[in-house]
Amino acid sequence: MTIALKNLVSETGRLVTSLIGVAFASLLVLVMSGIYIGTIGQVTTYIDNTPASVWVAQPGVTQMFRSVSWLPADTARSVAAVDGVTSASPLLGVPSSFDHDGSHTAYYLVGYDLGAAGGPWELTEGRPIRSGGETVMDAVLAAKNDVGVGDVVRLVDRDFTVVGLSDETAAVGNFYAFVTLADAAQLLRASGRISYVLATAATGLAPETLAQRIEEQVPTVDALTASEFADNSRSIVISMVGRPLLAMILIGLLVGIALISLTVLSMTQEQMRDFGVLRAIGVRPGQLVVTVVVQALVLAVVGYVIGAGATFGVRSLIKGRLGDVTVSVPPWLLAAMAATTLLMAILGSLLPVRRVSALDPALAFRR
Amino acid sequence: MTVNSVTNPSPNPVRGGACPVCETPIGHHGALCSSCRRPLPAIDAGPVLEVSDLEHTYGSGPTAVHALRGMSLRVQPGEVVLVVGPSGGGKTTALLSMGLLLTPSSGTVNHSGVETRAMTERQRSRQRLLGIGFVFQQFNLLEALTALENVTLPLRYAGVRTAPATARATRLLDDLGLAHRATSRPRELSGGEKQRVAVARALALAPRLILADEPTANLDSASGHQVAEHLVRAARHQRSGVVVVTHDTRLADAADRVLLLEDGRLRESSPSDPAGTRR
Repeated sequence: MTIALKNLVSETGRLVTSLIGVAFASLLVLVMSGIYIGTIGQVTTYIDNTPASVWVAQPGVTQMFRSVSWLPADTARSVAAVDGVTSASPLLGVPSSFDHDGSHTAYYLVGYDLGAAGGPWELTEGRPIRSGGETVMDAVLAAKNDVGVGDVVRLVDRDFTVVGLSDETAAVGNFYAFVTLADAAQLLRASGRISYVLATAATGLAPETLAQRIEEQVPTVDALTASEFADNSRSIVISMVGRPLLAMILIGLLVGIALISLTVLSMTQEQMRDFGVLRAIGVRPGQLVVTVVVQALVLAVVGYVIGAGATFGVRSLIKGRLGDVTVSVPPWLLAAMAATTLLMAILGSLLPVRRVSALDPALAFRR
Repeated sequence: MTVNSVTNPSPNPVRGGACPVCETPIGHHGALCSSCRRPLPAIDAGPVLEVSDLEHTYGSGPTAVHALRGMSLRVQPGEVVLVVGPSGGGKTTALLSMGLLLTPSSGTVNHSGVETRAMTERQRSRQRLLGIGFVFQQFNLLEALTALENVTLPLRYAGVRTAPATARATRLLDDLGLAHRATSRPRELSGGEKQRVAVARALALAPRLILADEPTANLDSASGHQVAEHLVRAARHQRSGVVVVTHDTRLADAADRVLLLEDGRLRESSPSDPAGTRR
């Protein structure tokens, strides 16, 4: 143990380089995993924050992002008449492109009934919409386009005054902009149509039961519980961006293993003569293996702590620069990554351990 | 031909009644010292090393090199034997065989009466750790450790407790005139100082046998003489047998016997011509 630690600290340059390698590997995997978890958690922010027990949509529409739902406008009244529904809020929403000063940003236009559910739930600046011709935009979308409260922006083919900036309404390119239901209908040429109805259940009534009742009593719609609608929407996003992210995490892990392996290997290689001397004076291969593994584990633990600390710095940086990318680092991820780093260290030690085990003690007598 | 010892020293009084590391009186042998936990050797007043008919060949067929051709040697406790000879004469092979780092093609190597050929690798390692002290030409100190830590190394690997191990290492460095260098790292030491630290490391566990490979080859004359003097004095003090393999015939004065190893065979050497150059 002592030799392992002394060996580690005896060469400051080598130690610092090694720690940077391990820290970078941990940082890489933590940030990539954090983006994956953050994306999955944040992508359904609108569904999660909108007070609806059941989402009513056009038959066949099961999620929000890769489909367009059209319903007759009077569907809201039909839903409201269902026993157990305390409110039914119409919503008109479609994906669109925000064109501003020559740049194009994908966003989701939401038209909602003022005073009903479906509007922004938290503002960072300004006020809610009070009348037609006004919009509340996602704060990150606004910042990206250098738009502020009081500015006039063009949504589809009409000018709107920005009266407020909403918070928590951005997730990996999924920005929201809110207008009144009437304005949305005009913009989308959707007079007499809506996209969804947000139904809230009476106290004590399970969302599943309410969804079943709505489908029974309003036959031309599909009704999904909010959690089911969110899960479906999340799945469609994971199918789009999940695999590339998982591939990057896997690459990060492989890079991590390679970095730790090379670090431990080069460190062991530099100490091979010392190990030869120790073997010659009677130290058993098993004792040298312990030294190599302890060195690798110490490197892994210290490097991981540095990497984990840096992750929080990177998270703040990303949050500041790219508001729609959320790096979520829950405690279980930190614990899992710590275990993975230790595993990487043990895997990285395998080749050096093999070399040390096979070391010829007569090496010490070579001149 | 067996080259027998010329002296017949009396049994080691320290080994009989006290731990060789911490000098705590001990009642029985074969277990651990109750004070420092050094494994205690069984009492054996016989030769510390007995090599018989040692032969070793590298390779086979017409290119085979016969490094040893029937070498025999016996070393008693406290005896210092100098083995000299030309390069390629088999000195290193002999040293590796005696140090259990090479299994010779034939012949026997006994350490304190124990035949070593049948030993497992683990037993050989243990015998090297507890029964042999090595002094290398290149010093082979661990650069990451201080002089004191280098000397403590074999003690700690043998399971000796930290405090007695440190005390023993400190005492040895003091005996070798290096007390003031205890916290220095090898790169801060002169060649002679490095080799004295290496000698202290070899003596640390009070092994019965010390094998030195060209211990003065990398030192100037004065330093070499000083190292040899320290090695011989300390080894005799703790009744360790010493075999020094070297080109340096100036060490002949310090030895009880000088043997010439040439063409794989060992023979007595003339005191006036230790290297056998005037045959």
